[in-house]
Amino acid sequence: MSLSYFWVFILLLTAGAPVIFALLIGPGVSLILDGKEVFFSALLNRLYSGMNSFPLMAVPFFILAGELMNQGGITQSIVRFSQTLIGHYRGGLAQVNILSSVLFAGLSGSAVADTSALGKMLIPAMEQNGYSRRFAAAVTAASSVIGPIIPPSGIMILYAFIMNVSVAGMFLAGIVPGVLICAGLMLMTSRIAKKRNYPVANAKATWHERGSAFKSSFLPLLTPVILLGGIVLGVFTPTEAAAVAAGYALIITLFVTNTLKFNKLPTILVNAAVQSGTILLLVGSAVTFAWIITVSGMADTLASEITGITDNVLLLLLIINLFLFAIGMFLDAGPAILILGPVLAPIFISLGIDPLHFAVIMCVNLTVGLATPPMGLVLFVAASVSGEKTENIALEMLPFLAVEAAVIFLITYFPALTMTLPTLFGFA
Amino acid sequence: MIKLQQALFAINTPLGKLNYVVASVAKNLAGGLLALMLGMILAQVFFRYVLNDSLAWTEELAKFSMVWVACLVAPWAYRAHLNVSIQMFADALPAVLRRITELLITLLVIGICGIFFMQSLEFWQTGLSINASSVPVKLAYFYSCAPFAFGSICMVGLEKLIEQLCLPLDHCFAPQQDAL
Repeated sequence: MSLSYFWVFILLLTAGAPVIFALLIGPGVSLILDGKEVFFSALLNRLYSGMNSFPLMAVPFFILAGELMNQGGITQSIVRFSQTLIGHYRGGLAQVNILSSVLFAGLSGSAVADTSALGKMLIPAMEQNGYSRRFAAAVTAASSVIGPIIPPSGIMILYAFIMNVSVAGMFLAGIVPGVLICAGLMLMTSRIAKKRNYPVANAKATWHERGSAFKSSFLPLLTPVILLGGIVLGVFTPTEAAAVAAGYALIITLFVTNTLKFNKLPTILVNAAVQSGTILLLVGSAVTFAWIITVSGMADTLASEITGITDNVLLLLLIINLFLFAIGMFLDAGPAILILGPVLAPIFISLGIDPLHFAVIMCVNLTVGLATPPMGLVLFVAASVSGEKTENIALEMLPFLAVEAAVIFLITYFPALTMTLPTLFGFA
Repeated sequence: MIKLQQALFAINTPLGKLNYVVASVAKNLAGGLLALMLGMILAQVFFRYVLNDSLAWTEELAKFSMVWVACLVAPWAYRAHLNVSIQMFADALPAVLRRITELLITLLVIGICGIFFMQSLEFWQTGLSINASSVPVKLAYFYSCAPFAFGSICMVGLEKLIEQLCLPLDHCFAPQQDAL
């Protein structure tokens, strides 16, 4: 089979065609040019079976859980809890923003949801406290990339599905990189806050105040514990865990915190269905494309080209990280993982890199790409929420991006950072 | 030329209304199906751990529901520009070239979805004689989501194509119309 599908795909992608259609049109054109129209039924079968998967069902349930938490006003209690913990440090609100992102990451698993929910609340508050708007937006955008790194994570589920890697293993492997990014961003913020003399958010909270704030956010914060605990202990499959998380979010927002009204439910369900549906269609198309890549022999060609550059695995990892970083500047993490995962992962696995280790490198790298210009979804959401220009936020984000790049470097060359937890729990 | 544009608009207005109604109803149904999926999987967990009795049908039905959710959402997502794309390079093109590119992309989308629509009818027919493994329901009921998705995307594509043909060139610089 000719490689025309690949060039058609690239051409359509750069011409602005929706990725899902570019993934279908490329192989379609190739089949017609090669006179192999009979394989269209095989393409359709791949598309259908790509979506008809039980592990993939975790994606809509996590999206639903995130929507329920978001609409149920859980954000406020999480921010209040973070404020009682670290609001008294210099640059306190910026630090609260970062810590809230970490706590929120355990609920939503989405960087965009994180930016939108925390940005709406914290960017105006930071501005009122003397921070520049661009800095407030930059901190929000930079810290929200922690969302898909700390479990649960939508993109990790996608990767696990397309590359047949353990979801639980990936979730565990994401914890340390997420914590490292949080620590790095907090240190950088502290440095900037001292230099610019940003204020403390509030007086040091008493233990009673902390306890009261913890009490109001305890139940939502229990979600990642139930999720990870359930999966790691083998109580639920990841899909069942996602459903339990959504059910749990529904019960606490409707009946315990009473922050969600029944009449909001239809809108939440439809929103979650629309978000999930677009992702599922993309997954189906990507599975189709991945199949064409395999049968055309392109994966083998690319593998020999890449390994032909150098036989030094460390250098290859550096090259691939730079490549992924560049891709992340133009393409969302989800599509990038679905398209590039099946091409790149087998190459590095054959070179001796652990599948989980490579999975986390790829996911973290492409997630950071969500906050990089010119095409950074998180950057656009931060700009829209704050009313600040995208380029100004991007400039202000540079020190934070340096921190995130450093973490990518660390997890690439020190596999123990990602592999210790999965190994400890028997997933690697 | 103006008469031709008016004629195209006359076709597109009812087509747009029809597409809007179909896409809206479909996305609301998708929301309902998502709730059903959640119910089924929670029931599966409840039956297994509380009643010590595994349900055999929940997993298969929830999977079929999920594929239906994706297919039901497809026309809305296409109509409302919700599918991910890279617009940076296209935005840098001169207006005329950009218009031509958009037209070609829409034509290709209609073409590929048209082919898949025909294929999905055959796919659907294969399901007429086979039952799902856990419930006595013909697979055709589940497979019918594929012709729906591709057919409805073709209809939305046609609406977009007429819209793109009708717009005068200076509209190239105007912001995109609201999806509704």
